[in-house]
Amino acid sequence: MTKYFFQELFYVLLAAIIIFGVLELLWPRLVLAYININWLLIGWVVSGILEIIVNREK
Amino acid sequence: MLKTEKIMLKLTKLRMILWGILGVTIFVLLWLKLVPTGEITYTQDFGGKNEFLSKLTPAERVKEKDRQVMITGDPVYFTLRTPRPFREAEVTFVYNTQGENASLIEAGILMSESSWRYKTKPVQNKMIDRLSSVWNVTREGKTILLQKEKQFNSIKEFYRNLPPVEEFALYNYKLDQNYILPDYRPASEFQRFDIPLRGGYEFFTYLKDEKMEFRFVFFDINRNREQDDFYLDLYYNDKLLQSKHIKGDGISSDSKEVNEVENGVIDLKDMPEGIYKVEVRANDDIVTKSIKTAQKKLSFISRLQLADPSVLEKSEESHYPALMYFSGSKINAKTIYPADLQTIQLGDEDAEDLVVEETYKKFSQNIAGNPKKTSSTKVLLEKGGIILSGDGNFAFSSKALLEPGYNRIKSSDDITDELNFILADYIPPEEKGRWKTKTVKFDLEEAFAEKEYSGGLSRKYRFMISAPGISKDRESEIEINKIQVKLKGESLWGRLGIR
Repeated sequence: MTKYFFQELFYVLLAAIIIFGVLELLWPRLVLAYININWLLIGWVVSGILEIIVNREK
Repeated sequence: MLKTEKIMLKLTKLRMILWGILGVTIFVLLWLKLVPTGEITYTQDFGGKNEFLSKLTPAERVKEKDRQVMITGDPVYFTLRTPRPFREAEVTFVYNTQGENASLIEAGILMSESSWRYKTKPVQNKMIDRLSSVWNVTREGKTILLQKEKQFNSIKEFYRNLPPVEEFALYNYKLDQNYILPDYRPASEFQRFDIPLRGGYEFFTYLKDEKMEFRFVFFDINRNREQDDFYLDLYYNDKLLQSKHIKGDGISSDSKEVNEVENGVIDLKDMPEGIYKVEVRANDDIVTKSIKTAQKKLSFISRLQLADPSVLEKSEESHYPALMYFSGSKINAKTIYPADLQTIQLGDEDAEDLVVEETYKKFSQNIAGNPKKTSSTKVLLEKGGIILSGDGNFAFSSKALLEPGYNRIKSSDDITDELNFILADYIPPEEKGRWKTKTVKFDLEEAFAEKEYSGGLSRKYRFMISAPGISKDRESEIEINKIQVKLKGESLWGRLGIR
């Protein structure tokens, strides 16, 4: 289940980054006023790394 | 098989949760952007980053201390970014004053960027607060009438039997009566003012049984990268009578090319007697080379920028030293040109001069003996390139100077022995513990709104907190605990016509 969790988290965070990016282009400051995208990017990279590690172990 | 189904079920749940969180986040962000209810509140408590309400600037006039800000200079500014247009802003200040000199605090919103004009509203007027405890008070709504000795039972009665001008003063109140100059005679010949003025300005003029005629010679000096179209507006009793759009030279680069543009003309007959206001709404690329007028009175309101003669290549003659007249009790001067640093002579030889010794810094000088603005003070300028401002008006001749309106209560000097009545639209701040709270309403539809991105919904408004008595030398400060802005506008259901 852990394998799926990181995989799903990775996809959702990727989608979030893309959607937030598009929203920022459409309406500047809409996302950045409330959310620090840096943390989202770090979370996305970490979830990707953990997904690779977990999958390799299995 | 069962195990796989269980995993799939769990996976579906996990997907629903994660994608659900993302969906809710996007929904909340869009809600905060579009504000469907039409109301939203932003708070600046000086704790961290705030995308909507900026911190107070300039930094040299504020001091931050434990999530509180001390205002040590006057004025200070902050900006408000709204996610979409709104109709009204209710700005609440939670503050405390230290020292005796913070007697007047006003908050303002920028109305015109070109003339840098703020519409101010009272936060606290300690002179009125103090007199309220000593004089007789009649309050009707937000209007207050203070009487040294009670003569009138209501504000209506006061209005019907208005006492002599020197006996009453106003604060934040517009008296619905035309200001008439009793001994006014129209000018017999045209006047021409040749000192070049830079950017926007406003002036008062007076009309009685005469034609209104102004001829402005404008130049576009192309120092900034923007289109230089501008407007020539005429007001009577605060109502816009006419607005003329004047095109710049069409150059939107900073080429420094100097070109004459269309002359501004105001030519009107059969106008009623009274005070008129003319506003040139222009940016700093527009220079008024001369003004020719049939009017006797031409009095610049509170601020004007005298152009550095070098900006007009074609200007051969020097107009300096230049003599001006000022009607107020405090004058300020600032220059951005090192070559225009100067000593401005004020009044008679024994009066203190105003020394402008640094660029980009505002220097001020109080003019003694003119608190009621009954006389004018000579202002002798060695050079141009200077921005003059103050609590009065400026003119190029003493006859042209006009200080319309009634006495105003802005400092303790305004409370004279002859004063018997004060009429004001003023509600004192509420006091809770060590903090005072005051809410001031601003109409955002009439204020200057900067669109941050073309086609975007966001708007940026500029606010000011003015406290003329505040300065580091005078040991007076305003401690700001919180600034809260409640925005009100059209709701989504209102826009869709759903009740």
